[in-house]
Amino acid sequence: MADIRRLFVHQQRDVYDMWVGFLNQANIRHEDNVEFVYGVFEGDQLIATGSIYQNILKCIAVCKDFTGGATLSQLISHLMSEVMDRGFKACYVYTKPDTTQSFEYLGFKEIGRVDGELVFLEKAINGFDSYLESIQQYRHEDGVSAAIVMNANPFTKGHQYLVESAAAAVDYVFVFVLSEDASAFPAAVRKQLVMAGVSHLDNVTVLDTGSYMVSSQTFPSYFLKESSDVTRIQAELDASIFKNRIAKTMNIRVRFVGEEPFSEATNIYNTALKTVLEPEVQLRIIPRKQEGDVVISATRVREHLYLNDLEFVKELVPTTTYDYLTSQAGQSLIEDIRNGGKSIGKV
Amino acid sequence: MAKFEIKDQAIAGTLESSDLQITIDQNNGKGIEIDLQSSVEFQFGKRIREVITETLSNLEITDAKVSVVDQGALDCTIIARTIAVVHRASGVTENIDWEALESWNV
Repeated sequence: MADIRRLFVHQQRDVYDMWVGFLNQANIRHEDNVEFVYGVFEGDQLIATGSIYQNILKCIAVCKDFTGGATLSQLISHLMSEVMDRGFKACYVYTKPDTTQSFEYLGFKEIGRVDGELVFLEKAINGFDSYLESIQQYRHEDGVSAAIVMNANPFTKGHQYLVESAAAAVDYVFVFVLSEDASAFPAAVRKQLVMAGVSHLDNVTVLDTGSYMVSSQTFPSYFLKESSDVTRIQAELDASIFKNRIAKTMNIRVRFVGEEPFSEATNIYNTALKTVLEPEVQLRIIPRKQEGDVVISATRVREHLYLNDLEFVKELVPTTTYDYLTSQAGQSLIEDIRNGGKSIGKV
Repeated sequence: MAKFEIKDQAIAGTLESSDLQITIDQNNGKGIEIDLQSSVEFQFGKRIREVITETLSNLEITDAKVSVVDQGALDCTIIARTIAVVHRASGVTENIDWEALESWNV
């Protein structure tokens, strides 16, 4: 029986080189966005490797002489135990379409795919179906329902304007707030501020995204062809999951997005979104709100929080958000962010 | 026997050949729900479900959502993994009541 050891690739140069070399042989590029790397050894020979980033399995490769199932099973078992031991309730993997079956055999279920490029799979006891079941109670059979997906880090007048515009244009609006905790403001606070900021709109419901809106933080680039456009494929996967599963479950016919005049990535994203969603789900782009001649953005709000310039921030956020920021809880969170809190700088 | 209560999601076992991986979580008032995936489902699927259901019943678990990936485990392995996962999900990992387990698991 082969044994599994942790590979300290970020601490030991020779281990790093061995790991990168092994992945390259399997036509996989290595990714630095991994937290723990493991190797399966037969004696001194490395025969397989796999990595973890939060609850996502990454950079998995098995030496071709050992691809019969046993080695992969042993490796995936180990990676999953590590993920669950860290308190996660689900485990995810992105893989090539031709290796999907190996993962399905180990209990993973497909969430979505981009044909010819990649498949996104989940292993969870309360997975995607449970998530859809939990949001389905808010579905409306009548009228036109629309969706907005936002990180709201934190909720600004710009976000509020986007929701208000949508709420005025259609019958019902679902605001999905990203559940992933990788932003300066924790998911619970972001959602709370969104709820406070839209409470005056009675046709708006605030929901969680669960793990089912694909974020660029967790999206892998390592096995996509060099020429493939990572942002585009990420957007296509995200859009297809949204269209095929979430929009169907919730009877959503329109998706609103904010215009991003300065971000090339967002432009690529919105173009891909439009291609995949339409005609079943219509994409509508709302121009960005300006306050005087200042474009409102959450990035700008955070910059001024670092500078402790609450007067400036006051102009960019609704009173509900401002009240939170000046509250005791808000002040201690800002203090954390300024002192390099756990997720400083991430968008 | 101390009563087991599924408090949190737990996992036991592996995906290796002749073993099974079992995950358990709460299932408030909805009984025992088993999602089974097995390499020998066609031949032994019914028996595997039976063994899990019996073991849970012996442990007095009435509500649980269970997800199983079986790689051809024997009954004794299935029982052992089920006992382990219930203990973990209930937060009982010390002072195991062996006597109570042996009263039915002989």
